[in-house]
Amino acid sequence: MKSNTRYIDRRTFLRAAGAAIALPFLESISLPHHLRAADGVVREPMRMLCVGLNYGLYPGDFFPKESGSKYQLSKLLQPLAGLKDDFTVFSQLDHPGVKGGHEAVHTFLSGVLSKHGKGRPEGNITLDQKAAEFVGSDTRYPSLAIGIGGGSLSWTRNNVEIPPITRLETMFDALFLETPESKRKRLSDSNKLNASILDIVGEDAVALKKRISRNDVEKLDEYFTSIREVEKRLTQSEAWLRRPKPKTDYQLPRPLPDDFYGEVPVFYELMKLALQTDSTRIVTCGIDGWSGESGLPGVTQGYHFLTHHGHDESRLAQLSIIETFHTTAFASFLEGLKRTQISNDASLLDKTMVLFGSGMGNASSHSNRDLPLILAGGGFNHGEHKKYPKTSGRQTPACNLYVSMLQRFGLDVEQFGTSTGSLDGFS
Amino acid sequence: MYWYSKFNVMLVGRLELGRPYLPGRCPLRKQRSCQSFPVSSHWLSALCFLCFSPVLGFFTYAQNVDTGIAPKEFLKQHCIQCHGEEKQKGDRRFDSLGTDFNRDDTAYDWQEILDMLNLGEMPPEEEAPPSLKDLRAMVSWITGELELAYERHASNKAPLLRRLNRYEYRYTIRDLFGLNIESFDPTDSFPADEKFEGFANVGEELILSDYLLEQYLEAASQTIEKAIVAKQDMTPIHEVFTPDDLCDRTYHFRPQIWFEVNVDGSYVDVGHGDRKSERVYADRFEKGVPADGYYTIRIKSEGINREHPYDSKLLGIDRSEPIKMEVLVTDPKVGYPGRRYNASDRTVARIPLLDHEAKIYEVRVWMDEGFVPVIRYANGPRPFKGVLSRIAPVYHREVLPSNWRDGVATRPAENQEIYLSEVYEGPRMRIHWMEIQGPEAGNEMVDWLQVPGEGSVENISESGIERIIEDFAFKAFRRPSIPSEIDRYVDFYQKRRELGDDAVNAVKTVFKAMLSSPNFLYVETPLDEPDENKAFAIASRLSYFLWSSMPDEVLLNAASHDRLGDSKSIVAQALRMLQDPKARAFSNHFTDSWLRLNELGSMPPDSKKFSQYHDRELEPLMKEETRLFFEDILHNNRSIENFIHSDFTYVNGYLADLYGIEGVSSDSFSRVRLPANSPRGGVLGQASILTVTSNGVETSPVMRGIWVLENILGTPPAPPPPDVEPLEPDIRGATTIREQLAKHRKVETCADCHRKIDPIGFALESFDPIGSYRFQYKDDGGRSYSNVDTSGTLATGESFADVSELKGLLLDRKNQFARCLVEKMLIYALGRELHFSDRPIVDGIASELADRNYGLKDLVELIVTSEAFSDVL
Repeated sequence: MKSNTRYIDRRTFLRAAGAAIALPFLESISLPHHLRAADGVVREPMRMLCVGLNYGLYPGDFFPKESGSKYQLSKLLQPLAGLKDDFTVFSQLDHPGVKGGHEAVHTFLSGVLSKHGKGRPEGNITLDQKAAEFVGSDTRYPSLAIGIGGGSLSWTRNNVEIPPITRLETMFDALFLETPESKRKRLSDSNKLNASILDIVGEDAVALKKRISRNDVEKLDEYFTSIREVEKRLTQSEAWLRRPKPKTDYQLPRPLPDDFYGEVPVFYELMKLALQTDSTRIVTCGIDGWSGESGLPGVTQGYHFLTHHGHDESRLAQLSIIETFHTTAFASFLEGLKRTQISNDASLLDKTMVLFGSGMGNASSHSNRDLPLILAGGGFNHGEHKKYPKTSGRQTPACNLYVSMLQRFGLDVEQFGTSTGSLDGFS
Repeated sequence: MYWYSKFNVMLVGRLELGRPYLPGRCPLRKQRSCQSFPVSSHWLSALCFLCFSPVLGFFTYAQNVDTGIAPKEFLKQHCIQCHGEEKQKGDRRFDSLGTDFNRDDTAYDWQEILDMLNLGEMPPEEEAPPSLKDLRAMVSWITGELELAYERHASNKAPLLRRLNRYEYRYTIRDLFGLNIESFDPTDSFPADEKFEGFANVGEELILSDYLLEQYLEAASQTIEKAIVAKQDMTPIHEVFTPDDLCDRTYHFRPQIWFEVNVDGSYVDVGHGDRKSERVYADRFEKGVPADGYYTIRIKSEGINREHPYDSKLLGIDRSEPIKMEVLVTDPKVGYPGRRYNASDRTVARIPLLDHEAKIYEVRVWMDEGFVPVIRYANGPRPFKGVLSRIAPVYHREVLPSNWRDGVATRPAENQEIYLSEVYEGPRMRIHWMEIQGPEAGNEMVDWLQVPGEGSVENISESGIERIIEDFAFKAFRRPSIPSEIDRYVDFYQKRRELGDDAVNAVKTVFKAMLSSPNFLYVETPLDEPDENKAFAIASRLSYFLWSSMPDEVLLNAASHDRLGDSKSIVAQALRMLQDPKARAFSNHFTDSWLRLNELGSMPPDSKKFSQYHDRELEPLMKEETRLFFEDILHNNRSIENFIHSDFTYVNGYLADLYGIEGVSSDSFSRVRLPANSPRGGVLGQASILTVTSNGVETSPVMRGIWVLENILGTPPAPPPPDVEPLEPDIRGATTIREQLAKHRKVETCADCHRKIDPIGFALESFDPIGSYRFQYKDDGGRSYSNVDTSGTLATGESFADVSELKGLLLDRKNQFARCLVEKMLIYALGRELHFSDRPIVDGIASELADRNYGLKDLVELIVTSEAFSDVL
């Protein structure tokens, strides 16, 4: 036993954490040029945050019965009661042609299975990465991908899953821990060195290209493209290296929460800080589950096990505790964004489109149909439960919603993933 | 001519024709496959006639493409009704199928039709069969056309450029530098490699992205810093840690929760087996060992109170098992070593302790600089908080303070006078002291900074530098280098020197660049001179096939000198390489890929229902069984039939327990002979396969059935039609999966495939989601609600009562299995997808394998000597 370790009541630290978060210290953020209009007025940039649950949400508890603006909140939407005009809940959207149960959940933000990505011009790029390409180097991190207990939601256009941040400290350090001068120098040297290495190996690749058959040229092109991209990235990283990170009064709770129940809310706080400090404008957070104990009061069975409820009452009751925990944590996150004013007429929620949902429609049957989806913030007209019944046998692609989001984000796009347009009747 | 004739007989003569190959990349087609299993019986007589009439054999027709049959007419009469404009059963449509075999998709479709005709699967039983004359003419016509198509395709080479995957990269730097990689892993931030049908070494799938290139730069840097270190005199350490070093003797708050106790400075007792909780570790050793190397760790310890007065069920541990001490090494920079597990943990020993008899145990371990040793009680009660809160109220009411349930109170309760640690009589691991000594002198690292005869890099001539670079390039690029490459790197060296780097740093930078070069990152990069090119490509191919790593000195020499020009020298190398411990990579990664064991753990079994899977860490043990089993068959050149059924397997104590096998209790594995009535034997009785085909909560006959069709019979079913919703289980009425599937098969679109899938899965229902044998299905409360029924009837009509009888039916199809295994191993050996034009090669190997009585080592020989293996850039 270590005498130097102190243990604090979880409730105490959550209170303490909450207090620290209510009044974060923020330095002024210097905005990139394109956000300043010709008249000199600064426009607040749009942000995007996507939360994806690996096991979906029990449809019977999630989808409201009525549609339109006068709908009754379903059981799982109760925690969002105070925010009813700030979000829209969607029914009957999904990714046409995508199936495979757990193996298809990763299509949540792309609409495309990773194994089908190769034949497509944009691979199985996810919504957030599409937006991140647009943001480019305007922020320190073009995007942040978090994975709680599992993989990330984000895939690049090259069919690569972005390895997620899994630890609270990693995330906190990425946002706030200032790189010491000595390390900065080392990183800068290493950037320069890497740039010169890329020159040399690029020549190797040119020489190699002359010796390979036509069939292999395409494969080698991956290498050339990567060199160009990394060179670009090195330049950007060099620029950000010289700029200080934002400061915060927020401190991670000590000891760090060691279960799911404790960890999830802290990740949400860090996500909010990431957006608030403009360290990034794009965050994704995949929420899988836990190993060992969940820390959730009343949950004695495994998460995956409970999703195989077979309509058994006691299993559904425990599953509902977990899922209500998700929507509650999400609701308090939205409330936090709403409370945070970032300009005279806009809250952080107004300038952040927040998607919450899953690539799993019904975990019990491993169905990827009818995905649970909520969109909050981002300046859309909210307050409704919008249903999209099949028209002449075709369902509405969830990617149509993503097109609407990307357009709002500022991209000039008509198409994304498996979309057939933007989402009807939603703006 | 001989070759073609032979293949022609093969093509027509074998009943067990597998899946046809896909012509090039054609995503829509990717999912398609014929379902050639099982063979429909009403056709058998006709086929027998076809097969065994060599006088009328079709190779006589093969030369004569014009056989007088009108193929389109045949299709119209027998196929279009179900595969035409109106209906497209099985997602296949032939009314617009042309006869231009130059088109890949056309040839593909005809190949599939040929297979169906040969198998007698189509036309289906309920339709009128074609006349034997028509059938023979049709088979002959397609065969002839396909032959010509194969010939044309042979000149159309498959892409061969493929990058190292993650594990290949790691093994390669191990061998290039002589690095110990037990803990060191510069690839841990690499994105996961995309797989093709389970294979993580298929070039088409292995994308080289900008993200990965950044990681390559970083990994190269880490590797070079680790591997190229100037020689220095290291004073070995010898540290002895007393109980006071390992655990504070000061006042302990709530020892019943943390239960690691040092009462009087003479020992440390640990009562829990929680991975998340305290571990025995000397805080004062936080700097860790001073250098990479081998260290000796000695620990004096004993087991206490294995016999205890408590109800074993409350403790949740097995009294018959000795108390086990686990020794780990870990990196304090990754996580605090004294509490919880972290990613840098590496278990180096698990030692059963004597009861109440202190003994000194010694382990010799590799440790990376900065690592520290840690001890934990491997099989202690867990979660300990729960265990103690069950025990205290029953046996030790006197210790309960007013706030005893509050695990995180900030100060002790005032009325707490007795600690549970003082009265606890449960099992414990007792540590008297620990010491560490090392590092041992010398290591296995390659000294790349020395030029033999010239000295070290600091004081050698320019030509010496050139020599270092050239030697390194030969190994790193796995072939002789091209002069312009060497010039480029020598120039780079000069430039770095001009910028102020000293000689050592400049060489390190050059090496780092070479590890980021396409010549290192792609397995084979061609040379201009054809013989030389071929020799070194084959060398790389052999070593990445059997070692997943670079060629060694002997293999490179063989490539330089006798050019690996004939089968004999290739086989000699392969056999030599299989004897090398590095060949473990083959059994590990091939079984991982073929049997999909690389997915084990992606859906971990439920932690409550299958707690032993987690408590006993069965996952790696399950894999180990399959790997040892594979190696046994490989090294003894046993028949591949053993994969379907065998009278032996490998188990250790925990697996034996899972299987109900008596007489094995050790942690190490041993070969056991299975009794004749055992449901085990073959891969279908192995927990690894039975677990990976379950979803962690319940078994699925569908998943298991598909697994067998894909990986044993080589006939994956088509994916479900898009408009069918999957089953949603309802356990309220406690219906079995069998009853639910019966309902599913009533849907016409589902029935075609499920009558092939489900029965196989039913036979395996006697194994639960972690492969334990069961007779009954049980509900959450552990009450059985239904007996397991393992009987079934294959779509061909043969019935079976249980898994043993099913295995008998599978053995009847051993040629079909052989072909499947040939395909799988060929994909692995070539690192690419198989194509339409590979078909004759697969047929040839499968036929030869049958002639050689199906030996697994023979299969490896046949693969490395096959035409496809020598087909280089």
